[in-house]
Amino acid sequence: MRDVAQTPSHPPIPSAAPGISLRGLGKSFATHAAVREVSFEIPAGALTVLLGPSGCGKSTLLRLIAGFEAPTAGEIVMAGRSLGDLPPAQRDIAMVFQSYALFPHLTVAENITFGLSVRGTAKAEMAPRLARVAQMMGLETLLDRKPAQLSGGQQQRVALARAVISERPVCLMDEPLSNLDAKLRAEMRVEIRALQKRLGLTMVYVTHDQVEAMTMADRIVLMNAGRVEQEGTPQEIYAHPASTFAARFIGSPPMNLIPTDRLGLPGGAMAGLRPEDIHFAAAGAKVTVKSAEYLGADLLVTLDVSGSEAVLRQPARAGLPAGPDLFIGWAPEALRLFDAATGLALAPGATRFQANEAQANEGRA
Amino acid sequence: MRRETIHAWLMLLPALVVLATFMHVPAVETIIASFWSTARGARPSHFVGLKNYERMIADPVFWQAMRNNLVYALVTVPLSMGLALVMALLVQGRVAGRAFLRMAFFTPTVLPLIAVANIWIFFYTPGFGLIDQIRGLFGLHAQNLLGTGSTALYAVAAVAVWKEAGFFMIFYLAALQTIPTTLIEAARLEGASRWQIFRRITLPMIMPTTLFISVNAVIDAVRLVDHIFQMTQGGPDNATNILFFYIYRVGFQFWDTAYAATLTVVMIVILSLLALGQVVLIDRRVHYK
Repeated sequence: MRDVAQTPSHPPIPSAAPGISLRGLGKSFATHAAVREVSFEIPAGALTVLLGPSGCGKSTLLRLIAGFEAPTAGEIVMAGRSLGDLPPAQRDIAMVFQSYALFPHLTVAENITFGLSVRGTAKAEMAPRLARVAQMMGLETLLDRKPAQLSGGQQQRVALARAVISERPVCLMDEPLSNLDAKLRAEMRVEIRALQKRLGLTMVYVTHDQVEAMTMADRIVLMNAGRVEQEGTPQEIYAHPASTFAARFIGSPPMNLIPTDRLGLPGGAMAGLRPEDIHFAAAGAKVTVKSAEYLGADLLVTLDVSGSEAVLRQPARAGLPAGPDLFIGWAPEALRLFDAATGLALAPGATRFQANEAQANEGRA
Repeated sequence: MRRETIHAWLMLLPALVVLATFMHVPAVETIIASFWSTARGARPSHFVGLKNYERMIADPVFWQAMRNNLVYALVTVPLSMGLALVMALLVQGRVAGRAFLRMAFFTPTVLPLIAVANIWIFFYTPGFGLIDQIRGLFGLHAQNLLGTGSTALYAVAAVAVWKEAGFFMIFYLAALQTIPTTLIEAARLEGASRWQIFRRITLPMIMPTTLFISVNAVIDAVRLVDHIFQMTQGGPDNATNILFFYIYRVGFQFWDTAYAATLTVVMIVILSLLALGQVVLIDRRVHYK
């Protein structure tokens, strides 16, 4: 077996973090399929976020990669070899658990070095590695404490330190920030991302929080009901959601979905417009203002567009326009169209005509 | 304030009365009785000071009972606890027939010790008991395990282990179930072997339960004597005479109540010291969440 403890301890950067490819991966339990036909590439040295609502199969997918569950279909290939039924310890993978999984009876130092010690790393090698990682994670003064004596953020750091000290090139994270308060979460997002970049880790990060996904990810794999809904960079997914699900899941507030005829466009499809892509105009689709939410820099205005609800984002200092007759306009290139029945995106940049045509084709098929 | 004090005492009263009547008063009376002689016919009880204790120190049967009890404890405590842990580990995972196994392991606990004793008398019966029948299969001669001085104590100890292990297993099982699976997974991911996981995660995490069980096991090693009545009556030649059984005999067969009280005081002191020692000693090494 490859023992990472044997690799030189300086620098703590894994020589070459491997990429992972998932090929037709499936996992069925007795009563349901948690993951179906999932195939995608996890690029080497990048942070890939598995994003989706709870129960979408993202955690199961992570457990498949870690080797805690065996897939019922497909395979996982890492660094050119199929992982098959290789036990978790031999996959060269580190993992941070949602609950941190710190050993409550061990001190911080013992927790961090647990892996090294069970793998029989020499004490002389362990001490400098511990010192370096503790310093990196700001844990030097806490090494003698027990996990119960630490705050949530400190526990999180210990869990990270335990993953980092293993010097394993792949790191899996299962909703690592979900137990922290909002402020700490924002700080840890930055820290984890910086750590991943500094160490050049291949990181697979599971979350249901689209803000985490958007701010941290090199690539997002959006999952829904056990399948991959869409994958791409945060920019790609934000700008070109592949479905109404992706459109509504990414973005806060999410993309507005309005039947096209209510916007004065040829009917039959769903129009998707980001809140920042619509603006008050002298003419266009008629709206009424239902409410407004002041966010300091921005103002979120909830509108009624002939019976559909939509949110408009504009700089707060612009203020609400006066007058009973209000209209909205939008940048034509920002308009996205979705099939009303399937929810799938119609050809990117589809014109109204193309949308109609697609609709007609759908009808004929 | 005053009213509250009265209420508080009224609430405490039922428990106080029961505890005082059946525990505190008899305990104090026992200590007092150990300094007085036993009333015999025309001679009423009179104060004798430490005479009962002097007699005890000179009593060879007392010392034999103490030795027997020590051996009995050294056999039953570790064996019943070890067996309990092994059984708990066996039935906590995904084993075929887990529910049946759990029930089977627990059954001896449900039986009264007297009934258990009768079952084991059949096992031990020389010649045609279960054990001798098995020995017979291998061509070994019949043996009277209960009737031989060198084996009788171990034979009754085995009964206690059989009876106790299932009970302790329940506590271990409950403790094992509270260990989060992610801890085990985290350890597995780090490359810990099954033995390392057991030694470095499971065992320390069930330490509070181990402490609890060990206190109970030690107390039971002194307290559980029912089967001795049924199986050996302390014989042969006091080989299975342990302290509590000896106290019963002195108190209720020889009716030497003062001497029985003296022996009881010694037993209580030993038990208290043991429990105190266990709690203080092990407490330092126990992790409570």
